[in-house]
Amino acid sequence: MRKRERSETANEGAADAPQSKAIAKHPRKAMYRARAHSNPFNDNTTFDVPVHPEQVDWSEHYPERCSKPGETSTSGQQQHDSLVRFADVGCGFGGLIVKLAPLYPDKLMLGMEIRDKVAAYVCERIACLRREHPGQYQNISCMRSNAMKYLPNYFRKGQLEKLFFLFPDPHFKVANHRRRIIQPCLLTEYAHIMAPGGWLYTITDVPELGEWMRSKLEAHPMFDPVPEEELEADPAAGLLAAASEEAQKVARNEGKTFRAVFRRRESPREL
Amino acid sequence: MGRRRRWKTKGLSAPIVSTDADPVTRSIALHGSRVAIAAGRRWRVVDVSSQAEVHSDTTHEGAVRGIQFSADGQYLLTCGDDKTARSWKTADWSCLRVLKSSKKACACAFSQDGRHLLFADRFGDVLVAATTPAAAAAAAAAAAAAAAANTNAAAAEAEEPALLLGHLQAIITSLTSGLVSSSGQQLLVSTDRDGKVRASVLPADPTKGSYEIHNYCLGHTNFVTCSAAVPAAAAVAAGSSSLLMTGGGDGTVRLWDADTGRQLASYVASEQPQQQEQQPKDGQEQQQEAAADAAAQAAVEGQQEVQLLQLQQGADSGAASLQLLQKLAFEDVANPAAVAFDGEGRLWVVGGVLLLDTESAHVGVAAREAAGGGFTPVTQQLLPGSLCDFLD
Repeated sequence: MRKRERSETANEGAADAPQSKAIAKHPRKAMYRARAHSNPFNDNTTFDVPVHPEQVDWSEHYPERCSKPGETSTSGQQQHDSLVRFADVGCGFGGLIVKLAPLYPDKLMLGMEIRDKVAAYVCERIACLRREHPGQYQNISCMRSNAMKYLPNYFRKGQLEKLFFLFPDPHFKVANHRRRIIQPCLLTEYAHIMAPGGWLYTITDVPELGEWMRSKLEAHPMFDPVPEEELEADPAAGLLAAASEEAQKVARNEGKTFRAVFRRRESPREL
Repeated sequence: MGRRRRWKTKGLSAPIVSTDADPVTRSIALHGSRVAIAAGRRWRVVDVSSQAEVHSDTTHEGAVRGIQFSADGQYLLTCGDDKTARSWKTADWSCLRVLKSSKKACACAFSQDGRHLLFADRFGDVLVAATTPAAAAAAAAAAAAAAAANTNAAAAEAEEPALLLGHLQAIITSLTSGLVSSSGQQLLVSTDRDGKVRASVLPADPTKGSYEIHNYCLGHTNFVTCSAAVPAAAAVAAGSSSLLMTGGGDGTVRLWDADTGRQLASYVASEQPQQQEQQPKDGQEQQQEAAADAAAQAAVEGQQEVQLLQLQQGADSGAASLQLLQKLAFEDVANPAAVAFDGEGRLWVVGGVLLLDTESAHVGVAAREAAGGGFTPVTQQLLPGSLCDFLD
């Protein structure tokens, strides 16, 4: 695998050197392959975790939308909302946020991915898209982080309007059900960082996991199911089964998908 | 064990992974004239007014990690390494309930009204149950058959508690109840080894679970070891409905407005060593308590002196600060591990030698001569030697 990489880049580099400056070459997934599974409970000190949401310098992710902390924003930036409103947890290779970006150009979106290489791929992909389409794709970015543990370090209370969990790791063994990303304790944290009325989207191709996620969401007093009519009118819901790379793989294999979309309530339901 | 990791200094520090056996813990709790001291498996209760040890107990099969009185003093709660939490009636020291957890229990507290006990295990789960079997039976009145059998259990059997909330996969280090949000909701503060301090809404019936986080108090750059509620009078004087103090492995004691999550003041109790590689022994751990007259104390692991801090309001409202009042050493108490204030503003501390499986404990007391003055040890005047030095 290594030899092929070296010879390829050597050949490409020589031939394309003058061109690559003019045309942004999209990153190739082959160079960023990683295992599908990553243990979220590993020691996560190889990347920085901010202590507090105020500490995050969002201008590194959205240079045209956010000013550096302490700097006064330019007049162009002041019109835009400078807080992240949509988050894709486990964004993989970035398929969803790339398709969502033009649909909601005023909303800042963040993809979070725990795998180092895959997060790097998404950042490269977004950088290329920004070069190819000046002025567009300025509202999406990717961050490498562990969303199961550190969401409150990045987002303030009531900040997110949409939270996406596309094709999460099923963790089939009963002993590993504690690691599932949709579970009662974590749903409380997700409700905390979501604004009242915000939507939480889940989709999976594993029937048991689909049933699990739906039942946990139904049982949690901070979430209500979104009725079908509203789902049909929602552009983001329509993208769930088609946008991400995992969704496309499922469609190729003609699998069935199970979608559950819930809305965050203003205050908990009476139990 | 894997490749060497480069510790980053920005943001959260690297967690300290303990490779030794669980450290020796001693804890202390006070109510009225009674002092409860836990060391190793044994917990004792000493009555200061009658100058006698009223109870000594080794029912726990593992080290006792937490000991608390309920606010009205009718009940005592203990939890420990035997993966149980037990509630006791202080009138006759009978064990009311035994609740089991799947991992070692490391922190415990009563709800403010004393009707429910809460304890946390090392999975990060906070578990809840009614304090007395009668209350539990009343709650389970719908399921009649099973409840009737439990009401008169003389030797309480281990029962399953309900799950209140969880810090995912983070060891919870302390639980503090009694704080109230500005909208009047009861709050429970839980701190963990990931540096998080979380205030959750405690509903009227906590056995149904807590699903609403009121706020996070984020600022500690290392694990948080202890938390304490600042008494209401001092909080209101500082302009808040609920003040909270926490101490942690980054060597700081921090003051928070638990209602908004804002950090109000911070005090550096011990300097971080320059090199980031820390052995568990050198890690800075703290225990602390807040007292009626806005003084707080912090005992730092590795230091022999207890640091006394004063909460001061700045000239312009809102600029609170924590100042060092005094560093106090107790000559008979080595390695102070836990501290508490009693109803008369006296400062109690428990410590002792750091040997594994020891049940020895040494107690020290200090009092203020005059309001606003310094503290001096008064252990000898208050308790005879047999009641402040417990040896194996």
